[in-house]
Amino acid sequence: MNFTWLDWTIIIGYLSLTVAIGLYAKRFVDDLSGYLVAGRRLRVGLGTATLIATELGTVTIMYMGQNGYTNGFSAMVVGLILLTAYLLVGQTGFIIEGLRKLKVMTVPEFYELRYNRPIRILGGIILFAGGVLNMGVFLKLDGVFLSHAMGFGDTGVTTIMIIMLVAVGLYTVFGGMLSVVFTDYMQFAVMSVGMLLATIFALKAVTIPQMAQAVTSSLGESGFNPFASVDLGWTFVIWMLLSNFAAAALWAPGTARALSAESPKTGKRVFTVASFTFAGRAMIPMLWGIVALTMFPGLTGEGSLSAVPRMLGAVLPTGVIGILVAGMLAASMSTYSAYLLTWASVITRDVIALLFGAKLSEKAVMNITRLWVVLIGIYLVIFGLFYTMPDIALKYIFITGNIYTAGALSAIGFGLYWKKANNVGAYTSLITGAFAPTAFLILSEVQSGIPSWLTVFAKSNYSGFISFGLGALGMVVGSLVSQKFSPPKDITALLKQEA
Amino acid sequence: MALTWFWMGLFFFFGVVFWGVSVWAMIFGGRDLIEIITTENAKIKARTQPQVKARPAPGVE
Repeated sequence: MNFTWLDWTIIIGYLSLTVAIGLYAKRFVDDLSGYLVAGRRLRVGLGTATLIATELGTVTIMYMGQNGYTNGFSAMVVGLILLTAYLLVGQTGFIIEGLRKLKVMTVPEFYELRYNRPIRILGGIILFAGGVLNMGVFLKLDGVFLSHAMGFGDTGVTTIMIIMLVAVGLYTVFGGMLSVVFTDYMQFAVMSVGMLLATIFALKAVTIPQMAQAVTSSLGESGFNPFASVDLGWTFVIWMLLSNFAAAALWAPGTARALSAESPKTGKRVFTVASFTFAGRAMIPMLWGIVALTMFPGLTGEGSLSAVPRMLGAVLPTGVIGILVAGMLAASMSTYSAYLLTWASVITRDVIALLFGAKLSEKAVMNITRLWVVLIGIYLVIFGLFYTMPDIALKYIFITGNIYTAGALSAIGFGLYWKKANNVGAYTSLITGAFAPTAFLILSEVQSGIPSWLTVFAKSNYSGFISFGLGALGMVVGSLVSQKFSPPKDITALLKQEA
Repeated sequence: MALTWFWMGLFFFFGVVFWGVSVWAMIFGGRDLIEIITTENAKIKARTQPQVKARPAPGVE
């Protein structure tokens, strides 16, 4: 057992404080905009803190750490890609500026504004499906992390998963985005300190030459050169660039920060400032993965997920491990709360409310959103317990994200910047964009007997890469062939109005 | 070893940037958070306090 009474005191004290603060924020929520986009009150400082906190969960540490463990220093190329993608979006305001100007509360609202209501419903369903599949493994990865770091091994995973979910569910259900923002801030502070301490102790445990030796003997040249790696290579780099660019612009939990910003300009600045932390966000856990490879070589498959928490459990002293686990819990909770709220609001506002056609009151929409937070929570526990990932966690996370981002990048990007984008183009881009990632998830379950022409879709790098091409092709061809019977809608006037 | 130092150099640089920006965001984010709490508390106070009716000036109906 790695944990002592001091560590437990830190954890219990911290958890109680977080839930209390989340519930305190409830008193400031009096309408739907307060619940979903924090009343659009975020400035650069708080917006940046909350964006970094949302994008930095234990799951991030786990999949980045596993990537460091399985690919060595080559994995760090992902950090450079993340920096480039978020900086580009922050500087150009690509998509986020347009969405904030239009004052939409969720991404699919744009579909109705630019196209029509059925496209909003389809976009909402695809976003929800990709989002919850993506989030499906979060709880499992976090449970594995915390259980191994605390010294429970695999036995504590389920209990930890349930406790975490109940705590997060409580304040997300009641407080909405403002609770998320309040707790994000506190969790961001604890997480930053925890990561710094963990890095210092990890680097004290092994030397740089020892790490180089371990990477060389386990991975050879592919551990240092991402382009020489079989697992990574050019296809991986291009896929990651496209995925991260799309995710930075329109992955709903992050985009919600731009939609919650006090102005479009503030939204852009938040992304620009936060982008500088994204390389570190990837490289820090990847280095932990390399330290873990040095200390515990030979773990394969899902076993490699436990490498980083095992290493941290071994190198961190009493008290420090309490702070780190509190930080990790903090990070998980801020990620869950933001993601739960985002996916619940998408399925409620963009699908259910529209499908039933009835004019629901704001209070009813808030209550249905809360119900979905609970339902998604239950799904997370069940999915986490029974699903086995077909590839390393990083690739699973991105390929499930592509179900939505590949089509949406074209539907929203072309919708904002190309006057000929029309309803047919939006339908085809959303469907063709989702095709390749869905095919990958199905084919990876089938394993054998796949026709040769489909094998390309059974590889995550190719499947993810192709999905963006298919999405763009669907939009361009679909729009161009149907201009006469489906004239595009003009939203130039709406974009020019004062934010 | 050269490639190891290349990646470690990048790691240390972006590590410093990560914690530097984090400290900045904590300071300015904290300031924004305090402002939201103050404004919202003032709004709640104004809503819950009973409105005092102004007395008409003498001679005014």
